[in-house]
Amino acid sequence: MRAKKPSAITKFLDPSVVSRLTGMELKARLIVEGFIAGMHRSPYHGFSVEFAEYRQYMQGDNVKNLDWKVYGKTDRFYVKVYEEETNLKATILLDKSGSMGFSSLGGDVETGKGDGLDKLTYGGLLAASLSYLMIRQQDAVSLCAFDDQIRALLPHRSVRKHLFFLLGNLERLSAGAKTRISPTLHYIAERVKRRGLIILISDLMDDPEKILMGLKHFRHRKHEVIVFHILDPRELDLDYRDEVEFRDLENDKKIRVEPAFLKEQYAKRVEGWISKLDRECKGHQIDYNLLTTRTPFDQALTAYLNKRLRMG
Amino acid sequence: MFGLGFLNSFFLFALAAMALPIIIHILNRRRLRKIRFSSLEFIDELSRRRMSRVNLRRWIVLLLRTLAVTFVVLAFARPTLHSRAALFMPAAAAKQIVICVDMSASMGVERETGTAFTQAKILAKRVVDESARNDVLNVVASSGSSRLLFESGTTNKQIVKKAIDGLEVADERASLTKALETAVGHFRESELRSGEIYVVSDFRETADSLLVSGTPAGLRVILLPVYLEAVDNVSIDRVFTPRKLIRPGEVVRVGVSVTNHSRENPAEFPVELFIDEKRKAEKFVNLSPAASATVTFSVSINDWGSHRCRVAKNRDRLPIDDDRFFMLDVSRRIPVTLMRGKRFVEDDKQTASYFYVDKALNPRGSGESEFSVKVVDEKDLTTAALPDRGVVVWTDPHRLDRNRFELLKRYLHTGGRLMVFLGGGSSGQWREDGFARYFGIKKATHRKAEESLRSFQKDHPVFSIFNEEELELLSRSRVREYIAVAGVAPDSILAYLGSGDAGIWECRRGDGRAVVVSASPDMASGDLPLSPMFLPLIHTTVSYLASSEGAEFHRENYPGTDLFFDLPAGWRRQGHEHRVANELGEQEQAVFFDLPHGETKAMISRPKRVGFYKLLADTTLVSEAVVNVDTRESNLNPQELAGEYLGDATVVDDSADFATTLQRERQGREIYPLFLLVAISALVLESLLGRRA
Repeated sequence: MRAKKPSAITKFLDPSVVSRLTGMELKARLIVEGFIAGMHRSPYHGFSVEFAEYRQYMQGDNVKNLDWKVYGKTDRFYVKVYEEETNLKATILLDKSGSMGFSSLGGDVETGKGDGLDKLTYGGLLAASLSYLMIRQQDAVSLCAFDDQIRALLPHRSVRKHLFFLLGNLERLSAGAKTRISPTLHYIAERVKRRGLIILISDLMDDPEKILMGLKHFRHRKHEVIVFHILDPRELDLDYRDEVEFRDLENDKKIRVEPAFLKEQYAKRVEGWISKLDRECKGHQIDYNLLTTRTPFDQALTAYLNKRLRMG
Repeated sequence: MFGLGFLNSFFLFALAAMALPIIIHILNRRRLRKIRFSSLEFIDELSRRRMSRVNLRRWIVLLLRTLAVTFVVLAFARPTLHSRAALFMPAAAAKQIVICVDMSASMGVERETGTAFTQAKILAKRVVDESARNDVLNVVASSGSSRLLFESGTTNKQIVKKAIDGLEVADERASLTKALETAVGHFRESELRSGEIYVVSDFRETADSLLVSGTPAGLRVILLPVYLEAVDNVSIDRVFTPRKLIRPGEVVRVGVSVTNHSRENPAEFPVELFIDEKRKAEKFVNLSPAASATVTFSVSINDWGSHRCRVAKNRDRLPIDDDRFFMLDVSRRIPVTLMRGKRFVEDDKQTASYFYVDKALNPRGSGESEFSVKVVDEKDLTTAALPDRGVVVWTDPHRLDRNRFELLKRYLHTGGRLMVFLGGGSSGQWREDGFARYFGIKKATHRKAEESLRSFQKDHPVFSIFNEEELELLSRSRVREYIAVAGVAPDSILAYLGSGDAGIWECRRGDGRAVVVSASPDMASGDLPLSPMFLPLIHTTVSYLASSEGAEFHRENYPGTDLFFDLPAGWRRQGHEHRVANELGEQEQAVFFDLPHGETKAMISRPKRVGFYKLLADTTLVSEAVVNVDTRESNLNPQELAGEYLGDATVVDDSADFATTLQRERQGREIYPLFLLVAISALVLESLLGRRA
């Protein structure tokens, strides 16, 4: 058995590489393929009786699914993939508020956008990758993009066509208005009846107490919840030189400061904020994952898969 | 008082660069980076607490930057620090430069490279060389007097250097303070606003106090010592000759004081005595460091007259004080001034005491005796009548007016000799004018009673030549009237009268002495003058007084001070051309002037050289005098150029980098490294604060 060479494909796990590609579908596919190529065993499961397609054998696939006839004809290992009914409803909640439009990787961000990944793009790619992965394994995915209110809400579907629709929506997203997370959480919690997986992708720039209340609401509804907390590295360390006038992306507030004098205290504050979120989430069996826009995507995908495994 | 000056003052225009950090600061604030940030929640809260402190630090940083720029600019302007500087005085402005050259005797000290004076001239010329082209130069030649070589200064360096070359070391003592005063006076008279005075000297320990203070603004004083190390020197300080009449063949004791001025090294050397350039005696002296000693020579001179004498030691680095000159006068006759009191009556000479005394001293009246007698009335007493090395015999004192009495007292105090016959029938007026008290007499009473002399103090020189028989003869003479005195110290009484009153007693007053006889030698008051012993008594008393050693006489004439000549008694100056000549043959017209009390002196002003000086009337030798070096010039230990001595002046020593040091002292000490250090420190601080910012 021969597996694909991992090195060529796994580079697409790097956000900076992916950001140079065009087409959300391509990006999502490369991320997922790259991720899978780096794994020792296949993450796919949910096989059914209704044959759907062949695909190459990967390490970790059950040998019983090998099509020995094809092997006899082609001398290659293929496994049969069957259409299966959806066994999981996943809801991706993507924060598209103004603060998610922040990126520091390009240096000076007079306009709020640099040539690096902003948080919304990163979150969008993450959502796309997760959607791709989930739909590949027949899970139904729904997408909800919101800022101070819900801006896009796609229903749960597991068909491939839905994936393109979903990716198209993600591609069109742009940073919006102020962040108000909790109303969206409560709304979705009320709306999704069937127990499923809730994936929140956000910078959580809102009142932590309210956010946690919303997340607890999901838990109350027996949903599994994964939180991907997306932050820019500069939001963690405030690493700016010289005097800077900061302008708030959501409310145009201006502050003139010397970041060097504040960064130490600032970092402590942010750390305290993050640790509180982490602690509270863990207290309610919510998977909390802190990601920066430089974090490779496999970290997030692994978190998802772990959760998926636990869900069965 | 210190001042800050700048050598490149035009660089100060660059101080406008001070505005640079401020402009940059303003521009930076204008070019403020504006960054859209996701949420200012945390930043807002923190900035409110921290930014006030940050703003303060930012101002400090701005201040440090400005300071750094300022001090860098100032460093380029070459700041200098010196005393009494005219601030921002342009270096190119013309200055009045006065060079005071010490020409005192001590500058004749010989060094490896010539004398100190040679070195002083080199230094002075280097100062001239280092002066700017438009500086006005002048030189003060400082010896006994200070004189400017040029009336109003000159800018011609060659002329000044030539004038310096023409200077010669003098045998005189110099006053640097006077030289400075002359230089400062010259500066004040000049129209220039800035000036420099250079004092080139050896600055010896015994030099006068050179406190430089209160100099006019814009004037600086720079001391240029020709050598700073101590130089060993041994000097002959003084020669002591007895103040008495020296008779031919008499043994004379000559004391020679020598001093080792070295603080560290002992000295061993011979001292020789020359009389009329013939070596008469030699003694070897061993002196510890900083010690003095007196060497005594005993010599006798058979030939009467004035003898030129010299004591000499081996030559050292300062030769001028290795010789000392003096005169010894050997007298053939004893000068006596016979002063007549009240009882002198022209018509009745033989009743006057002076008549018998005169006859006793000059029996034949031909002037052939060993006494040369000059007779004056007490009311005509003048200084000229008081013999320098002789005796005044005063008979029957009546009354001296106040001035003449003071004259007589001064004569006695300065080593004069006096014999007094108080007399018998004196009116006693002298007793009321302080005269009696001066001779220790508390009470004087005129008594008429026949008494004779007795109880002689036989071992006293006055009576030691008399044997018993002669004393018996003397005691037979009677006095019919005398002055009974009370209060005379018993140990000073040489003979008593039969009444127990003092007959003859001796008084010492100051350096002089007097023998007083209570009776009067005349026929009216006794038969004393008829005694065969009267003549010997007068002779021995006058000889004793003339020859007795009083305080050692010493009168020094120094180069640079007026030199006086004593004139023989009765010298008539009219009809002669009086000149003073030294041993080098240099001649100068003598000046005469009359002192109070009839004394006349001849003098020349400020002789320059040591040695013997002759006063000549046409070609006849009238008198001789000696000029010796002032031994305060002999101490060659350098003065510590610091503290009060230095005052506001600065010192530039004669080192290899003399020109550089001189330049530095002229312009002040350059302190640009200090300014750079301040600038760097400001930058380092700025960097530290800035980094934290």
